[in-house]
Amino acid sequence: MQTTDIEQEIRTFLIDTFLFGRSDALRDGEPLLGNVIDSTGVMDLIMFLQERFAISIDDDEVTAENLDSLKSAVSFVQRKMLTKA
Amino acid sequence: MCGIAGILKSDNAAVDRTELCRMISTLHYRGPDAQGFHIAGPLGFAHARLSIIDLQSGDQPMSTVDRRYWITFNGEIFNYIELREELISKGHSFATRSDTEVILNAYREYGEDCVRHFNGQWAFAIWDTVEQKLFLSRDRAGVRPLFYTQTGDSFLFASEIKALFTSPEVSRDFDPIGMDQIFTFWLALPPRTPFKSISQLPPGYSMTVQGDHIRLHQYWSPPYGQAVDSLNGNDQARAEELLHLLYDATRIRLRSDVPVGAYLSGGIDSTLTTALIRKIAHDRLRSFSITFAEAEFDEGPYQRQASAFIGTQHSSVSCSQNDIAKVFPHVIQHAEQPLFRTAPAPMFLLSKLVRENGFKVVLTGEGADEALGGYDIFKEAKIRRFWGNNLDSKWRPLLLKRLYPFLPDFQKQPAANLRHFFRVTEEDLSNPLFSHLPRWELTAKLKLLFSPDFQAAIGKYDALAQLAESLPPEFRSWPHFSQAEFLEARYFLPGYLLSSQGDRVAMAHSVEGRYPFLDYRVIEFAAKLPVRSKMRVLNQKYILKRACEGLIPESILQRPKQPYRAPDGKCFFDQDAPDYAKELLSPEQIKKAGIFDSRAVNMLASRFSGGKPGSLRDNMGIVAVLSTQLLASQFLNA
Repeated sequence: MQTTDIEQEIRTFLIDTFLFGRSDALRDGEPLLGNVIDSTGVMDLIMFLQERFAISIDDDEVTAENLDSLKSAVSFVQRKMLTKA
Repeated sequence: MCGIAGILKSDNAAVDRTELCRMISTLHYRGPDAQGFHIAGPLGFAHARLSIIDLQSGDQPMSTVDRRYWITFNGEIFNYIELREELISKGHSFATRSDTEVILNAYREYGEDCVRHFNGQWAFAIWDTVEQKLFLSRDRAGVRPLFYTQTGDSFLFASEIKALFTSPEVSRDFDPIGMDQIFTFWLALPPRTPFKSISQLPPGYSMTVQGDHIRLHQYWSPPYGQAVDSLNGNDQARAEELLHLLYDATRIRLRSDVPVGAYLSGGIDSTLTTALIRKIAHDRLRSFSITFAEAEFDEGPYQRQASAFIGTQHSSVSCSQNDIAKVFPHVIQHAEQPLFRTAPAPMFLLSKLVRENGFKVVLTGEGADEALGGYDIFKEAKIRRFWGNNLDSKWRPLLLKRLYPFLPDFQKQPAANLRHFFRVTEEDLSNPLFSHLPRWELTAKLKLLFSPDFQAAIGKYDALAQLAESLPPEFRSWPHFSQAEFLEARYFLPGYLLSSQGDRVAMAHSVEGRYPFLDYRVIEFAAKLPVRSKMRVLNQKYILKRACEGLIPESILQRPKQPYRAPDGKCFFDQDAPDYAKELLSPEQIKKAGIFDSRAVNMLASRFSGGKPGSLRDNMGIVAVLSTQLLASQFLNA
């Protein structure tokens, strides 16, 4: 799967789930935690990533480094998919 | 308790009685027992009376014996008996036994400072026929509402906004800035309201209108800055003094010529006020409560324990999701502002129960959480700041997980995430609004629902910055706990709780609420208490619990705090839900009102389809959108 496809899928999920469909509210580099995703929303994101990209995410991987921006989330998913492969 | 309205013409033209009549008629439920008018040249007063004190001769508008001063008054002055004696000793004469006449003579004696002598809950207007001056005042805590507006040639005031909207000259547009504030704090910062043309007198303020000149002045604010954070002190003595004050606050709130009942929620605060009433009045006491079918909201077992322990004759009303959905439009009609939870709806049903049982007056426990440190937000802020003192600590953020044991998703979050959600950064820690940042930022996310045009009207306005600028100059030097208390007591209590869950829904059924914890002596005493007396480690309302010992059941004293809540979003998406929700959330109606973006609302609503519960933010969002749509349909297009 291409980086742009992964990014687009996560972007769409974030916009539809947390931003009421407002694509202009998700700026490049926008910190996700706290800004876009609320405290209980992280689990929604994890479940989406696991199901959509068929990866398994451990609790200790739910870190700011892995999920703090759209870019870091895409990199994280790519790493997980490579590991799986 | 009553409804008031008035007009002052600045061009000295005579007031039209029909106009006054239209205004007061909209407030008939606030005062179904009598209606009165006083018109003299440019001044017109109207009054809808709910007779509680001096049933025979307390009709309003009322004047002094010499007819120099006239008043229209909503509320009660609980220390009127003592004030009356004091004023008689100073040579004043009285024609009635009412508290209304006490206000008039106190005004004559003390002028605008008269309000400093009052212990009560009020909104009133006094007309001085000699100086041609209108004096208006609102009580310290903001129990009773007072709105006003100006047209080309008139100043108009009333207990509720709808009375002002009877004038064709008053525009009915939403105020984008007021709405931005509401979608941040859940309330408009006084004097703003949701409506551009309408202002509200802030709690603890009086105002004068003379000719074209309007002057507002603050006569009281809670003395939070004087809190003493000391490890030394006698908790027992403090608990006894608090109980003594609450006893007297309750005693004078039982002054009434009609029977007084009690709300009994099953929590500490209302159980204590009910126990004090029973102690003072001795006779058979009626208590009232709400129960829910859903266990997560229901406090029925505690209510029954409290009633049995104190010895009240208890009645309750069971509230279902469908009940909430059915009455919600009526609640908005009374609340006159967007709401973020449905919790006022069961309170609306509760006041109906009270009235159906023949009661006009109830005492409640409202105000204790603000004054004595009862809210989770205080606990949360304490932990966040404790963590902020050592940001690298691994275990300090775990305390936040302990705070929310009922949120399973939350338990899995690593500390790094919590730091983002709970706004614990160097910058946040120095923000004067630190305690409330997570809550307000969560709400502010809902502004994404606004339509592009409405967002453009708001522009770059920053509600948090405005609030920070309007804080008292010494605010930053106060203890952090006091800062959080101030934000709750000054804004959320009067702007949301006392209006939407208090005055408005009680008066909807002609019921007057009285609040011993909002006696200014209790508030001032509590504001000066050391923080340790309010929250001992994470034990909330520490000193109040000490004061309650032996007076309320141990099971209630020891129970974990359960915030009063009701089912929210799902009420409107049930199979049995009334059709209006679907209709008002339709793209056509959303576009017609112009406040929200129809696609965003559709996406929000879809999160409740198939019986899904929705997240905390989604629930706030759907209730806020629906209540705003109701407000628009009831007020803007009427």
